[in-house]
Amino acid sequence: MIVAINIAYSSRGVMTEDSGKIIVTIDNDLADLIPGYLVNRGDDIKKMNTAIESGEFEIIRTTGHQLKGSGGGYGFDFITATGMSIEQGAKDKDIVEIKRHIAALGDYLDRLTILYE
Amino acid sequence: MVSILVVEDSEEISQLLSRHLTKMGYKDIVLAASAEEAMSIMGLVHGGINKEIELILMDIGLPGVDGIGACQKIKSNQRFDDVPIIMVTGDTSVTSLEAAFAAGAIDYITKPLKMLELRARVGSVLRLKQEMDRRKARERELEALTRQLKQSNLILTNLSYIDELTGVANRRYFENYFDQEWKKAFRGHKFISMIMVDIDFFKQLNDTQGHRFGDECLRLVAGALSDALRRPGDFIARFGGEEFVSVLPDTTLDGAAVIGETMRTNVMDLNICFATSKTVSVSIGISGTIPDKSKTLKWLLSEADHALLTAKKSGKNQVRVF
Repeated sequence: MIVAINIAYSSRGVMTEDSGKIIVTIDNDLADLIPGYLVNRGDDIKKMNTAIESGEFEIIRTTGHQLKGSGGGYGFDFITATGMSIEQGAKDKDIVEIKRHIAALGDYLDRLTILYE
Repeated sequence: MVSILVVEDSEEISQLLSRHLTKMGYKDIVLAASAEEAMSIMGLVHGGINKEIELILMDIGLPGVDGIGACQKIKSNQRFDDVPIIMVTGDTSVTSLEAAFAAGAIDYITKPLKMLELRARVGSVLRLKQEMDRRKARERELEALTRQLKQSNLILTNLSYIDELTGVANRRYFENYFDQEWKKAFRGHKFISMIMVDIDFFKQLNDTQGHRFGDECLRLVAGALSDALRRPGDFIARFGGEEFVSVLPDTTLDGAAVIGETMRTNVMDLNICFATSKTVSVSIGISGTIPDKSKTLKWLLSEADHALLTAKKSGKNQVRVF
């Protein structure tokens, strides 16, 4: 299955239909940084879900802002785009929209496969 | 080696910047997680480490003092006036960028980071800095050369006004000085006096003791005459041969006579003996006046010369006032 949103935002990553996997190509020089970076994104999802429950939109906004600022730099343009949407959702206090993008991020991380070159 | 300071609170972004900069060939990358830490690294706070930095990459949205405030603080210190600051920001609104440039930032890089943009902007800013550093070094060189030239000119000017043998002023300087003092006395209706001094039997001294002895005698007499002058405006010069001349601004004939007598006794006290029975002495002629249109400085010099001639004719080793 091809995920259209990822095609729209990806500039460096290459995504192919391969049993639903999202394949992103990353510079070999960053190889040692990527696992840690992705683990931290999982933590971000937990943090934002907790913040939704307590209505702490500022935490959600800040996290979205950080996702927006960091994702593309590592080669994950989808994370940047999602971060931007989450930040905006937090500003609008639009919980439905925030949840939708957090879920999309979770799905992206679950299906992500990295190729280093 | 170029040292680059990265000020970024997100560890992930600072790691990424560090990795890219290293790949670009920059080996000395210093990381700071806040403006306060950056200022400590740069020695802007007490107890800091005072690290020399060539370029700063600064996040705008820092906790505590933000990137704009940090930029202002760094740029207000003269030591870092030439250190370029590139802001790293996801906020490219006109307001934000205007504030960054107003604070002293030279450029900005957008988040998320793009290697191509980072390479281009860091490269061009560092090239610009290196060129500015070269120009400033050249300016400093030129300033140092100008100072040296001024000093050399001053030394040459002084040398051209000093009598090499005796160390007192020479005749050229005397003529300039006398002219100035004469005009001042004329304008101020002040008395000005002149003392002409001639060493007695100097030709005989040279003939019997030799020129080296004569030269030493001239040096000692010049010193003894100078010692008689106490006030800042009083002045003595070697007029030529064994003759000296002194200009005494704002001094009456009586005052000049006292100084003349001091000069004479100073020379006698040197007790320079020659030709078995003679001691070096000087004859002194003094003139003085309040300048007016009927008199010239040549007239005053001529009057002092007449007085000196009278002292010579009257048996030498004495002071005569015209």
